[in-house]
Formats: sequence, structure tokens, C-alpha cells
Amino acid sequence: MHIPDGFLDLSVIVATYALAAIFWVIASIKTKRALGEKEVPLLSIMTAGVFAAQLINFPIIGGTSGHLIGGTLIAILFGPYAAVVSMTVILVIQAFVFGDGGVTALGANVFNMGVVAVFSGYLIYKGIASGATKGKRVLFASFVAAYMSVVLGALACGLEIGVSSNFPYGVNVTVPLMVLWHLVIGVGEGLITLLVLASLLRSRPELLSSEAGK
Amino acid sequence: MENSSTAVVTDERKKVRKQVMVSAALIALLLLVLIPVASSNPDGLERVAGDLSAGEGQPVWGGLLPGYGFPVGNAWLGTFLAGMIGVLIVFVAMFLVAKLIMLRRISR
Repeated sequence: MHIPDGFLDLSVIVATYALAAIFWVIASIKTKRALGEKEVPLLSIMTAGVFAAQLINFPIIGGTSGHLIGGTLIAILFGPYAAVVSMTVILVIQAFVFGDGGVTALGANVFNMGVVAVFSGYLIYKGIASGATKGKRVLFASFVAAYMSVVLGALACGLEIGVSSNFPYGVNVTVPLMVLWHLVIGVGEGLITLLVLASLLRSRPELLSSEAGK
Repeated sequence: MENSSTAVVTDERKKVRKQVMVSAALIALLLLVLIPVASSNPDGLERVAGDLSAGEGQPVWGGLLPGYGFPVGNAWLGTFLAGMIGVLIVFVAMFLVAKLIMLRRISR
């Protein structure tokens, strides 16, 4: 879902950079308060793991593939604000080191995958889990939250390219197409998030109870 | 008293260090196994852009290792090396960014 250079209009570039910057500043302030010192190495390796997972595209129907975004997973484990910071780090490195996602589209990519996907995933997870820290309810919540985070991230992406005159089609075409494909790709996000969370919970059952306040 | 609290901190550090090392090994293993079977089909956005014949145009900045390829003559090894370099960079960057964010808390 990484938007390359050339798809977005200047106005959309400016607006998404501004939005991403605002959320980043809020997120870094909140992370400063919420993140524990000893969580830093684990957040860092988890972020590196999500980066690695994003490299692996899984095939879906019709000659298309998808890959993990991971924002919901990190938000469930470390809180949404740390997840905004984490996704931003991944996206900045992908754009500057690997040319994945345009530098001009970085604001939009951070907004879609680091803000929309993170907060939608986190809120849906909290809503469904409703305080549970283990068991089937948590896993079900993680699947639905991760699934929806991809669909909503894709919706935002569809809107941004659709309103841009640099992209040949409008939102009436881009939004339905982006959402439809990601209704399928989201299943992969949901399954990976569920499986990683399940295996983490098996080795550290107390994992989520200590994050309850986030 | 002071000694015992230092010991607790060191133990905690050791535990976290071990978790990080085990995770890093797991990431390397997953990349090794999954890179050859990963799909090279377009992802959702690339598919939509392709179907709508939207050209990507010239990237403003191509990146240092474009397309996650490390030039070693073997695509699989190249992707693995680029991936592990990326994993290292992301880990260090996230660590430093988090420490910087926390630093402001401590100094205030």
C-alpha cells in the first residue's frame, strides 16, 4: 500500500505531510509518558520484525499479493502512540533506504499505515476485547482489528490518489477498487496478527495485562 | 541493598537482551525460509494502479538499495542481505528514536 512518487497532487502531499507531522508530535509526547524504559529494546526488535514481515508478500486471488502492515499488532502490544512512532520509523527507512514508497508520498503513507491503520486497529481491538487480556476474545479482537485496519488504510489511500489529478481516475473508481482488494488482503493481516499474538501470549501470558493502561 | 538492586537490573537487562537476540534469530530464519516462497505479484495498490494504467513516473529519490536488492548476483541472497541490513537499521533507528523521546522526559 506504499504510494510511490507521482500519484499525489501537491495539495494532497502538503495536507498529508501536515497531518502526519501533527500526529507524530502528539504520538512522541504520549510515548514519552507511556512507554517504559525496559520496553524500548522489545519495541525496537518488534519494529524490526514488522519491517521484515513487510518484505514477504503473500499471494491472494487473481494474481495480486499483499503484505503485513503490522500497525495493529504493535498498537496492541505497546499502545497506539508508540505504534505511530514505530510505523513512521519503518516507512521513513523504506522510503529513503529502499525506495519503497515515494519520498513525496511519505506523509500520506505515514498517515495511512501509521495513523489510520494504527488507531482504527487499536480502537476496534479495544472495543471487541473490552478489557480481556487473554483467551479467544483477545485473538478474535486482534483478527478483526487488524483486518479492518488494512481496509480503512486502503480507503484513505484510495481517497488520496482519487482526489489527486495526477492519478487518472477519481475517488468513485479508486476507493471501491482499493477497498475491494484490501477486503481480501486484510485476511492475511488478521491471520498474521492473530498468530503472532497467540504465540507471544503462549510464552508470556502476562504480556497484555501489563499494557492494560495504554 | 544497592548491590541487590543492581543485580536485579542486570538480570532484567540480560533477560531483555536474550529476548532481543532470540527474536533477531527468528526474524533471520523467517526471512531465509519465506523469501523464496514470497509472491512477486503486485500488491493491492500496484494492482489497482496497473489496472487503471496509472504510470508511477520517475521516483524523486530511488533509495540506496532500491527494491530490497543487494547486488550480489543472486536474487534470493540479495533480498536476504538487504532485508537483514534493513532489520538492523530499523532496530537501531527505533531504539535511538525511542531513547531520544525518553531523554526529554528524564532531562525535564
